[in-house]
Amino acid sequence: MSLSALSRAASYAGNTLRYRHFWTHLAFSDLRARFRRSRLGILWLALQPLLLTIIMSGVFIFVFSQRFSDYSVYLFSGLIVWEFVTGCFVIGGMSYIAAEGYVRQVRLPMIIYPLKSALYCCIVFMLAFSGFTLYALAVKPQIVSLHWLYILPFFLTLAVFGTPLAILSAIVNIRFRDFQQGITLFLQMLLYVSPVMMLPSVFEHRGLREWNSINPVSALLELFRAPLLEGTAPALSSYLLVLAWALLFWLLALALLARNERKIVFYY
Amino acid sequence: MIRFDKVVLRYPVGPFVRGSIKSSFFRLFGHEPIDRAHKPRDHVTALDGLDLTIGRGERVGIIGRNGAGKSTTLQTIAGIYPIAGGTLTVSGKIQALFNIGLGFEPDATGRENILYRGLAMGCAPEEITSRVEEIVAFADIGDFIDLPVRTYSSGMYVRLAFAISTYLEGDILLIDEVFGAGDMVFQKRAQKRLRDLVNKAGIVVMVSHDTNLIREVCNRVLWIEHGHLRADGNPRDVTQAYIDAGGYYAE
Repeated sequence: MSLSALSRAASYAGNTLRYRHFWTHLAFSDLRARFRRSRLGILWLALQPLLLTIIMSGVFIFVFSQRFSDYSVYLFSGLIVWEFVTGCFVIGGMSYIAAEGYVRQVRLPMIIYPLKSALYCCIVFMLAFSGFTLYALAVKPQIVSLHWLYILPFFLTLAVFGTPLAILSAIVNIRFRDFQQGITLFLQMLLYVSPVMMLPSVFEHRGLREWNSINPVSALLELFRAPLLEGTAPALSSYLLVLAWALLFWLLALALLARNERKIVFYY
Repeated sequence: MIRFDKVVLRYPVGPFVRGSIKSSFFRLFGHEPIDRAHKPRDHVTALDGLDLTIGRGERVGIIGRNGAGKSTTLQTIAGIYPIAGGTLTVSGKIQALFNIGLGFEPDATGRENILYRGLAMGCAPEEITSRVEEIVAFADIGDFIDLPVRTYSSGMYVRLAFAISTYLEGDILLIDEVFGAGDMVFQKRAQKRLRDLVNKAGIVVMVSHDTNLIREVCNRVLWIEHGHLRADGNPRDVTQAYIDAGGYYAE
């Protein structure tokens, strides 16, 4: 990379940082807007996965022969991580569409809109996680231990993994609106082949095992559940897998951003 | 300071002309939706070698027919579009007042939007909060300031947007035909505000179809036609020439 390219990248990053108040405030504003006339407000962010967990667990405990307390905690944890991943794709994908008013009036680094979406998803995850914590304390309090501190590096990893997904989705979707349809389908498929609601034992079968070993969502779920549910340290190999995928996504995202930065305004 | 040096700006129209999957499908059966002889261009040249220099203290009006390139010129100054040729130099903090409602969060209150808009302009949160009361007073929309902006009339949008743009430190103010929505009382106050702003060595560039307004507010007028500068001079002369040439002219 040439010196001028590096200095341009540095000034771009500096600019993004300069406008941090703008995109961070907007993330909170989006959250407020979502629940503006709702009585329960942000409580829904914990309530929705909780209710879904209860209903699904009611059925799946017979499929997997599990105790309700064990499986529901497992499922709840899966659902909130999954919600983050889908959010990065779907809400991330809407970043530029939602920001049309700003894009057409003021020139700002284009990365800030998907960054805002990623931040939004992170906030949602944190609030949902609070709900999960309360549920775990109520239903299976013995799992809450010092290992829960692993949530901090996990959260960072999650953010690093999800942000480039938001950037990629935002750029692809503004150009090809089919993305919105396609990605919903893709996510539905991914849901069934990841241990979100399925127990890990399902993925020990031939064929599924290979896929499961490279699926970043599996690794993320393992990183989340190992300390939280099993009280063990998360596997380094899982961190490496997630970060490898994250690196790939970042490279793609930044390349796509560099190419499309000045063209996005023409795709409205 | 704003300087255009043979600036060329093109819009790609490819995405709209390429057609849908449906039309491609029917083309397989021999149906030709587009006459090959009149194949549309893949881009539109909105600005074609525009040369222009605007210095501090100037209140510039831009007039011209619809589609001449007036709004495009403003948007180019704001740096929203990449230019395809020539050089563009713009120094100073820009504040843009384009379409009514653009850049507003509809569910947020007027007060909240003052903050977001200010942040989008690159102002620090402290700077904005210190000027909020001045902005609210100038906008003069009463209790609506604490209601979501989607309840506002177009005039209120304009007043709020104008108040925000002119009370936060900026060097170049770009206004695109938004004045029409403000009532007369507001217009008078706004004009005075513009003059004060410019006296602080700012630049104002405004697009309007209201030649009277242009004459009142501006000290220089540009007549843009087909992406070129057709005339550049004092408001009275240029607007008169524009009116004289007006009506339906064949090119």
